[in-house]
Amino acid sequence: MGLRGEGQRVVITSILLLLSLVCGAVHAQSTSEPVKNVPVKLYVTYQETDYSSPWKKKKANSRLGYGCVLPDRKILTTADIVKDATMIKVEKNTEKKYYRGRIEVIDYDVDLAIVTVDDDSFFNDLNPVELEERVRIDQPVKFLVLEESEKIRAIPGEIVKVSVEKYYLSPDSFLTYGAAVNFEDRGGGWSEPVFSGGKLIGLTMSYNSKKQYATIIPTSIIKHFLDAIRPEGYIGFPYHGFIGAAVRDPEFKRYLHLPPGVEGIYIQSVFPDGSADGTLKEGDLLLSIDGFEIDGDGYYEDPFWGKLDCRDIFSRFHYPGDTIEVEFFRNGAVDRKKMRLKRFSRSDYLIPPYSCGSVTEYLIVGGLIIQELTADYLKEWGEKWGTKANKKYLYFYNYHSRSPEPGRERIVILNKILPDQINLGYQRMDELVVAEVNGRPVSRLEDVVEALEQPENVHHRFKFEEFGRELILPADTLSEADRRIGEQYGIGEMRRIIK
Amino acid sequence: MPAAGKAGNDTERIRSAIVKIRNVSQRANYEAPWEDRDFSGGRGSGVIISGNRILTSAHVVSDSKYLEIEKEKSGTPYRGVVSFIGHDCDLALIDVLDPTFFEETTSLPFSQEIPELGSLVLVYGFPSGGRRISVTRGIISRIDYTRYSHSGRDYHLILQIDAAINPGNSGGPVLQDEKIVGIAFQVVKKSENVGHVIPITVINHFLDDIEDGIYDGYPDLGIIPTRLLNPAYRDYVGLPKGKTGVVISDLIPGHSAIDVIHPGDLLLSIDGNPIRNDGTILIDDKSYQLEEVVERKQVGDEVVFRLIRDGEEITCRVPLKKNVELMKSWKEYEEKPEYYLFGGLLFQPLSLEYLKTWRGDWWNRADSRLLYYFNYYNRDKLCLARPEVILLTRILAAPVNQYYSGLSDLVVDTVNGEKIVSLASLISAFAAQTGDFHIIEFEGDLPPCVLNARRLKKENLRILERYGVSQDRYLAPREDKN
Repeated sequence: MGLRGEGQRVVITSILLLLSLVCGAVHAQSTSEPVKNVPVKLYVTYQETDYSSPWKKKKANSRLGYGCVLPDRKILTTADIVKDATMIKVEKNTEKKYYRGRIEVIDYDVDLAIVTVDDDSFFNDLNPVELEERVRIDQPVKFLVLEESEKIRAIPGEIVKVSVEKYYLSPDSFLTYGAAVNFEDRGGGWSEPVFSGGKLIGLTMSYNSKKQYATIIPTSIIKHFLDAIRPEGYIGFPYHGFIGAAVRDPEFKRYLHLPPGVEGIYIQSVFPDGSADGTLKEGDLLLSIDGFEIDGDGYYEDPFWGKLDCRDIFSRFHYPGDTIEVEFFRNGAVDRKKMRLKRFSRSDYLIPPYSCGSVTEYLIVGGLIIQELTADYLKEWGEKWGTKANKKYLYFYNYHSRSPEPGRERIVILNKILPDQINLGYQRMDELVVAEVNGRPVSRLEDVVEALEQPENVHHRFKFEEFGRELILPADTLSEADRRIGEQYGIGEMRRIIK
Repeated sequence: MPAAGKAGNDTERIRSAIVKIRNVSQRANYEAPWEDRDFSGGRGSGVIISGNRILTSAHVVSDSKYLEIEKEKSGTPYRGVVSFIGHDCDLALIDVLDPTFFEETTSLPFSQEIPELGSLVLVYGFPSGGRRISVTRGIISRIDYTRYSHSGRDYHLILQIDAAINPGNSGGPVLQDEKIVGIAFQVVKKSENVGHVIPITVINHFLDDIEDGIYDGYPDLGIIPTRLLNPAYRDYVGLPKGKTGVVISDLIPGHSAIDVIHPGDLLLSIDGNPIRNDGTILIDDKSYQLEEVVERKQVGDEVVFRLIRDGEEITCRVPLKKNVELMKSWKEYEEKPEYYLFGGLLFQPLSLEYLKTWRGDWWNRADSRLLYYFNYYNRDKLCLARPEVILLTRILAAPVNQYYSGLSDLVVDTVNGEKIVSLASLISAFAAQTGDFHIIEFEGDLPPCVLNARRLKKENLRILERYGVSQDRYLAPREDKN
């Protein structure tokens, strides 16, 4: 491996490509014993909700991913591989046979899942993997895949980065390895197990073929995930619940009356009911978390990896329910307080960052399709949704998605109107934010349901934020119209509300 | 069907009324608002009308730094001056200071009739691809409302013809029976051989408007009507049997109806024309949006509504005033961009011209916060808290602001504790500070920007010099808000 210096790689790429292929093959052989029968293959048929017509599902599709066997006869894979699954088939390289798999635990935030197999004999000839948490930068690793021929193939790579990054679905950030790897024409990023020295160091989260760069969910996050499976259920990861900003500017420090040598991050906002609510306040300077000092850029010194984003302290070392101590600077003095950690909850978001794993609620009344705004709804604008979607929604998503306010837990929207005689004259109204129904302010979809139980006299009145426009429906013929619209448009359920 | 034109001497005579216009213009630069962009040349056509005036399209002569007028026959260009320009109706009048210019020319009269659909017209002008005059025949294929793209500000009537209008044709007259029925001005993108012509009604409006020596533009009612097409809605608002109308949802601040008409008012008629449930009225048996009544009026006129308010039918007079609009949501010309540059921090009001600095499909590419403030300024009543949306657009790097040099395109919320409602309020909030720091807070979850007040003052001049900025600010003169 001495040949794999950075300079040489640039100069003699083609030769190195060959060399690394040879190296890969050699390593797969030399370490074949500890990684025997790893990985297993998962064939997943999945079906997503059509968020723009929420009573419908999109066309069923399938994907392939990998998993590896854990000591307690279970399969570990990424959430991304099994999300929205309607059926999971599991296959191992020792037998030409499919086994039925089922999701036992899934955490979309850390992108991990546990899959069980109905027929326990599946595991009889499979060795569980050993987990290794410590990987150094520059350390060579192997990404394991199964060829069509069921031959295990080890693709060589190298860890190039250890940092705290945003995960696939969660807006929160966790410890991540970055690796240089070339999956060649087969592509990658489908949860390939990554090994070093015969032990599992992580699961592949994503792969960028242009940059030949993969991100890996480290074993320490995997261990934490497994430890969070408790007899009472899965307890998840804690979420810090604030937004901090780097403080480098000496003027800013002077403005805060910060004594020399005191460093920390500026607390811009604290999410209501989150972990930091009641402990930290906007304008505080956070100095240390759980005994770790934080510098002005928000890094702490990890004993093994060195400087890491301080959000790692919450997610890697603690569980929801833990109490830790934070040190902060407020009103000219340093203070300490206990902080009780809570789990990240997507329902704490004004605009939930993902919807998989939960029922998409909606209400169709008088042809009006009313639902809560979610990131997945925005993604229905297509590949360029980040610029093409409705500009008001995008603004709230980009700048206020985490901040539910009192009286506004969600953004309830009129998606569109299914034309019917009852909504004559309104049919072009769409993409509006529902402010009130029958004079009652709307903060969640349930509010609409409740407000519809009390019409104003013989009418239902919907009021929208934009220009305060109103829409009136007759109360007496509404249920008849709903029946008619349901039949006309082939909608089985006119509402899906989880109380 | 009227004849389109006659051959012979008449044509000679008409040709002597058509002029060629060359304009050297300079556009404002919204990225570096203290300087103009490069010069560019443009050309177009115009027509001599009564009183030794030349009528043309505003876009032919906008942002003019130097103007030359040429007759077809004489090879001598004359210096021209824009005397009136209406960007919203894309019309302008030019004076030529040297009276000898008008020798051997003629002026053409207007036809006061809108030409019939299907009738023939002749388009005169100096389109590209040659030096001499060009005459094209076309027929009126549609009479409709469309957005006047020069300013993009609003919709007016147009005549559509099936003759191509090429660059250089703009501003040239469209004639029928040797009378002007319109001014050629824009083409329909992606359609072949479709040209748009400004009709006589719009020309009349422009000429009437400037009679007092000032161009005021079109006044707007600023009403947001909701149509009453749904029987349940009609029942809910209590529209009496046999009556029709629309209900007012909202009103635009700065427009004429704001304090006169109320949300919830049921408008029944405008100037005696019954308003139908779809918001249209009939004039001469043709259907128009109810705003058409206003379209034909000037600032200072009034509009009379019959309406139902709180169950009572009343008459309401709305005096038409010049619009006061603090968010410039249309393409601007002649105007210098407003800005304030302090300590390298560049502050500008949000406007269409600023968003256009994203280029291409700026309406998608620009920052979503700015697009929201722009698109929902009136819709979501953002105008109430921020009559002018003041942005920190970017920072010219200097030691005093080095920790903030990455900040751009943020909405300024407060400066030194003062709520920012205009560029002027921002300037005075900086000026009033006597403490050690200037504190700028932004809309959204962002840390404040803290700057050393003394150093900022000291370095300010040096920063202006280093970046070649001659003026630290430009504020357009404000008109009275009444």
